[in-house]
Amino acid sequence: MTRGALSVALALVALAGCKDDPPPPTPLDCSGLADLGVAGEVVHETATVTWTNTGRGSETEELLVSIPPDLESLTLVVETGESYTAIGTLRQEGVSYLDGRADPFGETAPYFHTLGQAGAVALPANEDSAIGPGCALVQGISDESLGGRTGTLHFVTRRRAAGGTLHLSLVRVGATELGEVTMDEIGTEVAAVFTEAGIDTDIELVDVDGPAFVEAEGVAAGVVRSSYRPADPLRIVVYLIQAFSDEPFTLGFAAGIPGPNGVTGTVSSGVLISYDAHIDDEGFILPTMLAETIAHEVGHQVGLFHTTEAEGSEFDAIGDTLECPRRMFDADGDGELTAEECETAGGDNLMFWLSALEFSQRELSPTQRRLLELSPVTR
Amino acid sequence: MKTTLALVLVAGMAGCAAEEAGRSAAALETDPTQERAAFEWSRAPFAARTLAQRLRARHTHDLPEQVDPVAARWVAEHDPAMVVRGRALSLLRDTTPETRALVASILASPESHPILLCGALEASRAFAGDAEMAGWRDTLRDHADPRVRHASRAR
Repeated sequence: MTRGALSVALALVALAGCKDDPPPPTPLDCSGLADLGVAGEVVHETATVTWTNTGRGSETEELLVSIPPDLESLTLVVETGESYTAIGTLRQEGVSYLDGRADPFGETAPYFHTLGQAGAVALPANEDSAIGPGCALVQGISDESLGGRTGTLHFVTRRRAAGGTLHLSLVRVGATELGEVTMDEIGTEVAAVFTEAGIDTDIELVDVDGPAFVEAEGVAAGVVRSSYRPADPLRIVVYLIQAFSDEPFTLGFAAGIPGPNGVTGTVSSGVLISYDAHIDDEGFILPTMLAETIAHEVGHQVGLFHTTEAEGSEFDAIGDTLECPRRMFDADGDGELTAEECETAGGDNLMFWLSALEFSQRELSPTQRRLLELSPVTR
Repeated sequence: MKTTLALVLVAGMAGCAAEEAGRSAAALETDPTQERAAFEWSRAPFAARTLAQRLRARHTHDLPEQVDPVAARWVAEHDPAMVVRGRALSLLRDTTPETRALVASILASPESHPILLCGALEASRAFAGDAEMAGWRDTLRDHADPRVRHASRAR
């Protein structure tokens, strides 16, 4: 493991002009700035920012960063405690990657980026959305009035080739009872799912103090998600709890698509999974169901969307994932696509919207695999 | 005007020669097709199989809003996954004698699994004015399981 001091300069772009009538973008000039990251490494760098109220929420300073030509992937996170934040602007000369003001609900492919606690975005998000070399402008936004508060912009850069091993931490929280199964066996099942999908894993098993029952809505989930900081921060932490006390039918959920991977200790740093939501009618664990849920939510946390959504009219932005359009595959005409109806059209994909009743879902397309391999938690 | 901010390196993680002890991807010891094949569908009513599939939504916001009560009751009693049974119960909105009997059989037994109790509590809301249902809900307000307490107190 190499750790070293790194000093990179960021430039604050002067905010000028009328708020209601913003001037055309000024040329971006990063001269004098060192490149983000370190060649051959995955690096997490931070900058402290200050929020200014705008009338419709708040925004941070605009920061200039220099993108090196060997950057493989970039995860951006803007964080201020439990506040909902997003990357409001990410642009380069002639290219706008994100415009949160024009797309507040995250409806634009391929990022579908919107507000979240420790709002994060990962580039690339599909085959053709990598950020190019050169100067880039970044700004955080929030729908809350955070004026005067400080926050953190995180830059997790990968300047090494895609590939390696996906690093996970499987964390049992508090007195969560696992019945007849062990953490080691659960880890083995999860590894098997990813192996079939073509991804090697390194799974750390951990027990931490905390509540076995957690409310999905509210601060408790964030408290749990920030409770374990692995010594190696480049891991996705999967918290196994007994159940969600306010949502007994929830299997689990990621903290975002993507989550703030590479940034530990935030309220969004991890995946929450209910053990009890994966038992059979006699109380015994359904290991395949549990492992596939964990893998699915890790997929979200890395940045993968559902390949096909329920009604068969919305799909992810990845070109090589199979789509299952309703007009072709809704055999019973009920308006929704089951995995079985889509068996030949992506129903067996790990990121299908529905868990299959009759077969495993452990397929990933080459691009989905590549996005996993570009994640900072894979090396 | 330009202001310079300092970036701090938090972690540089590449070239880790001494990675922590890793786990190898051990062979899958359980057969996923066995786990799924355990369910006998031959006696299921029409629409039950499709409903059971749809109740396997990975996220609860994708669950159906309306269900066929015959199919839902069957899934609630036969699906191999407890959470699917609970989801089926929670989506029952009818007040037929068959649904009442199923819901009552669960609520009258506090030792039922909390997931089933939560589903039955949701279904019991359709029985407004049913004193016996209200009595069971009141009893469950002090249940040992936080899920049941939460569901019994929800309005």
